[in-house]
Amino acid sequence: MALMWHAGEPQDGVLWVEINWKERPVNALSRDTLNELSELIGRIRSDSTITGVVFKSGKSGTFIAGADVTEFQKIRSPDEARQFVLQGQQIFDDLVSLKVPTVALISGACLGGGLEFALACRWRIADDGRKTQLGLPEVMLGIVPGWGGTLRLPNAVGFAEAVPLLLTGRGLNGRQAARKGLVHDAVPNEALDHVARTLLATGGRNVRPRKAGLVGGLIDRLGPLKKLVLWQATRQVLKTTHGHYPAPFEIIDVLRDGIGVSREEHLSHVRDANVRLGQKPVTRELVRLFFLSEAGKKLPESFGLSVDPDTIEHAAVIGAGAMGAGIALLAARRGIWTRLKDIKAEYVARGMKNVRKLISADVKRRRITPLEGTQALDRLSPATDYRGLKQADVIVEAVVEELDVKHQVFTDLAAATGPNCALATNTSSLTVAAVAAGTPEPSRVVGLHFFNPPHQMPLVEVVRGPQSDAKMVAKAAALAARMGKTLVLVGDCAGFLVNRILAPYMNEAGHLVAEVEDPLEIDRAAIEFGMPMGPLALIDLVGLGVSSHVSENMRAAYGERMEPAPIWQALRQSADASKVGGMKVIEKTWFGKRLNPAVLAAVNDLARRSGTKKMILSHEEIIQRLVYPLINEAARCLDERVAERADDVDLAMVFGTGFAPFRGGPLRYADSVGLPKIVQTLDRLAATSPRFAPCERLRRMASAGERFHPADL
Amino acid sequence: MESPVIVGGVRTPFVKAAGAFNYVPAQELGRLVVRELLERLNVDPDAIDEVITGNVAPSDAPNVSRVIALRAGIPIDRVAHTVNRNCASGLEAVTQAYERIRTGQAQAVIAVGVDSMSNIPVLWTKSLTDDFFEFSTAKTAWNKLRALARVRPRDLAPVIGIKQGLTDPVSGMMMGDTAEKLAREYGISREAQDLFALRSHQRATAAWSEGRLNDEVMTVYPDKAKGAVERDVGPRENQTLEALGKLKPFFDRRWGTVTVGNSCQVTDGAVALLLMNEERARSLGLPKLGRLRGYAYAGCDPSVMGLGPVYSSNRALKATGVRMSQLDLVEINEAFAAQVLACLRCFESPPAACIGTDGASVLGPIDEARLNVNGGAIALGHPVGASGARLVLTLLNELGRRKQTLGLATMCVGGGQGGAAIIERIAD
Repeated sequence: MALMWHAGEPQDGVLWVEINWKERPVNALSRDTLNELSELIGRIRSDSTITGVVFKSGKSGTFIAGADVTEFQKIRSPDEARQFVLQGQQIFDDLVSLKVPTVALISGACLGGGLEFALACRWRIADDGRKTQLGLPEVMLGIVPGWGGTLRLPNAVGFAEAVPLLLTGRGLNGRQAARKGLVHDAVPNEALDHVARTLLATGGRNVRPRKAGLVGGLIDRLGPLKKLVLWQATRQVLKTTHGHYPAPFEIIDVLRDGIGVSREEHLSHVRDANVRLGQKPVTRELVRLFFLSEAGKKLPESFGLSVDPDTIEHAAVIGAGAMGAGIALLAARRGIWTRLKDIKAEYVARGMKNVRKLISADVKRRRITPLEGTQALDRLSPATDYRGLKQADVIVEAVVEELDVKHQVFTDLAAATGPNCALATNTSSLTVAAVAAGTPEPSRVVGLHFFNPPHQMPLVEVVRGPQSDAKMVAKAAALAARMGKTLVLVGDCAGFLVNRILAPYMNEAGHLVAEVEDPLEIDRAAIEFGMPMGPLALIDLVGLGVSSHVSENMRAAYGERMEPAPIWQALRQSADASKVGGMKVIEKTWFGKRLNPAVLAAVNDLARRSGTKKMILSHEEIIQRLVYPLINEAARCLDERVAERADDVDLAMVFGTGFAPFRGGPLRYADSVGLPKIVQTLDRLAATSPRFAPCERLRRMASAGERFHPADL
Repeated sequence: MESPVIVGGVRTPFVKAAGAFNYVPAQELGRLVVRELLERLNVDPDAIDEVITGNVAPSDAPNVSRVIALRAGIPIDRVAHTVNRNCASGLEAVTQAYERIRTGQAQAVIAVGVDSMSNIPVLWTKSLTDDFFEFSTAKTAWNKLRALARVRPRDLAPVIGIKQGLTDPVSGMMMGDTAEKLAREYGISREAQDLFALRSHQRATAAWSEGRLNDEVMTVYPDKAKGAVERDVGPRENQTLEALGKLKPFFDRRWGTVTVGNSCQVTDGAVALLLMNEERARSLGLPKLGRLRGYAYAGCDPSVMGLGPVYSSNRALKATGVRMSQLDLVEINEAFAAQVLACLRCFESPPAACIGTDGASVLGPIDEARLNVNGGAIALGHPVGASGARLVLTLLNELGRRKQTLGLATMCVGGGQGGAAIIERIAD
């Protein structure tokens, strides 16, 4: 019995190979399945009755999802890594050198090693279905496509097109892939077999070769132009990653060094690069996060309550603001009948306008077809009353953050919905317990915390309130999973997990603004550390009004250690108090960024009154003050079981806030710094303010020599 | 025979053509009302057997009914078809739905009436179409050139679809011309017409300001328009007799009396009604608003098509045995003020065709206090395919509000027909 490559006897000379790893949900390339492929290639070579081979997946939704990533974790030494890369390279070379033509019929995910396999076939035909995706996402795991992708992708689509695909790991659907020449055609799924037969029978006469444009053709032929393309790519990579990720640079190097060298030499460069990368902690962290997020997408399953996301058919969103409209769009896009309700037609109109804007932007970027856009809109029905909710499976409330209003909404919802409908609040400043308290059926109320903007942010916190029914939690989680979100299950407390952990970090930025000589250094330090943006820029994005409201909330919940930085207080009492809500901390001027003069005035005023002198802090010191309190709060969350596992904290912070992914999240970072050092630093800082005092758990772990994560992952 | 009941209905606001619904084609208007109807009643689309849609203006979808049904989530194994009885298409959809249920062929049918007059295409002349066809089929460059050379400037003048649609090919008259003819024959003055038009506006604005139409009209959030459309656009609160009097006659510019002010407005809109087998409605716990006591269509001279309501009502009353005196409310579609006023004269003194051998007629005078109490098409507009269904919906709602029982909904049909339905409210 074959493991993954199922080939019967050739029919009319054509060997049909069904790719189906029966023990696994998806097809992947492991050492074993590669060996089996190698044997199959041997058989094809020795059997003279075979005149053509067709590869087709037996699983709907995947062709081959890539290399088996669990295999990476088994690799213990550089030699083993080199061996694994070499094995694939050789086998795919064998595949290319077959005399008989081979056809890959691609339906579903064809990624990484899967695409490299397809690239080693003579012809590639994709279907035009929604699930079909082709790409080389290796860079996201911190490695270089190892099995000939760096060689065959440029051959297929041209050098200039291949570079961005390799560096971003972006996936293409069947039709896009055909346009770029990555596949020879994209056809309806049911036509695949016929096309394969015709190709083999006619020797591919009706396949047209890709036409490189004038510029593309020149680049493919001239080494110096290739170098120019790579030079530009390097600049782009530096700009977006700030040099924190080695893989894109290795890819660029491999491509540059590959100009004018033999294939063997190029492939050996690729092996070396991957061995180097495999030893870097970044790669380990990225692979780990990949696993965590894959598991996070299956959260409802892990509850042991099987609410199949596909059973969610009807939903409603109450509140058509930016948040509500975005959430409604997510549901409608997944084919869920969604009612979008607000109190006034005017608000609903604004929400619908937002939804249409997002859809047409997606259509313009060719992420969806115009027809898919219409289909999404057809699923959305606007309303100003509570009619039409009786069939809803889940309702997400996204109205203003006022407890009385929410209580009224949930009371109305209890009457307007069926008894099995989960009622989820998207609150960020209130607790689920508080929202549920004033409602007739608190057991139906759960939290579903989306991040702003909901259609872009991958994380959703699923909040289990003290009275929440487990079935309702699972149902709400199923909705978010259906939307393709990565979920993390968290306990009920002010700020839930992510905003609570982030609060000390944001607040500390306020302290630092008043204390450091050049406040712009705060954001610079954070970006250098690997944050997607600095804390001050984040405050400006959220809005000063909202973030000072949040910090008031945090103080109310957690007391002294979350006392808002005095600068926020001072700003609200300053002359321009009425404008504070829309004010930016950092202004952009013709000459670059600068601190808003109004903020500066408040800072100076504050300094004069308290008589403190401004300091010059190194980036390291700034990071210590920003990030160590964050780690401290994360430890508290673990202690209070707001998060069950350290992994959850890391996943939530990386996907919710963009916390330096290459560091693996705050707790992996804490381990790498060493808890004793963190506790010492916090103790030293606590001499100036009690807000820094390390919590009991952190202190205990440090003295016992414990870590958040095992040393070797 | 089964017993069909009407369990609910909803319509979009009626919006003047080229207004807020300019970019909302008929299939979208239809989808909106069907979806909203299902949502409001909390009916699973799976419970619907069929969708029948009345539609007149050429739409962007062949068999628009099927498109509406599928886009609104009605399962694919159900059926849908589009009906066209010109101005009575919406009524035709309702009466066909009624028959489907009555004869046991269906348990639940959605009757839709929809028209987007904004989206009536402008057509090419036949001669230009011929030249294009020849051009595209010509094999040689020379023949292609010859086909092109045949195009004359006058071929390029577009054919205005809406004008074509409102012209009766048999009599060669535009609809407005038939109204002029009625005004002449029945001696209906310009003042009487304008007065009637004014009252239509007054009643419609009163109905809106007193909230009587809130329930039957849904809010629409159209694409490429500012904000929400919550109300009918047509009714003018500040309409005066003087202003109406200043308008030039539109069809007979020199001697005529019919103006755009005393004719129905050209609008976009859609209506949906859900009809169900009474047993099914009960088992689903749905309200039973009313039923069709009976209905009839009748033919008449196309050049006085405006009298259609007289002949069809005559038939419907005869068939049901309902007497004029039993009718609590009457809706006569206001295609033209002159046409409604001519009908009223005929109801009072019936034409020979409506008088029996015994010299008696089932027709009788209509008290204007019971006629079109919430305004009519002159104020609200007349999206041709939708109006018939609107009359049924608005009549049913008003009967419910007044706790009355019987009403007549009737309308004239371009091409020389009339349609009439007798609606009975079911007391709860």
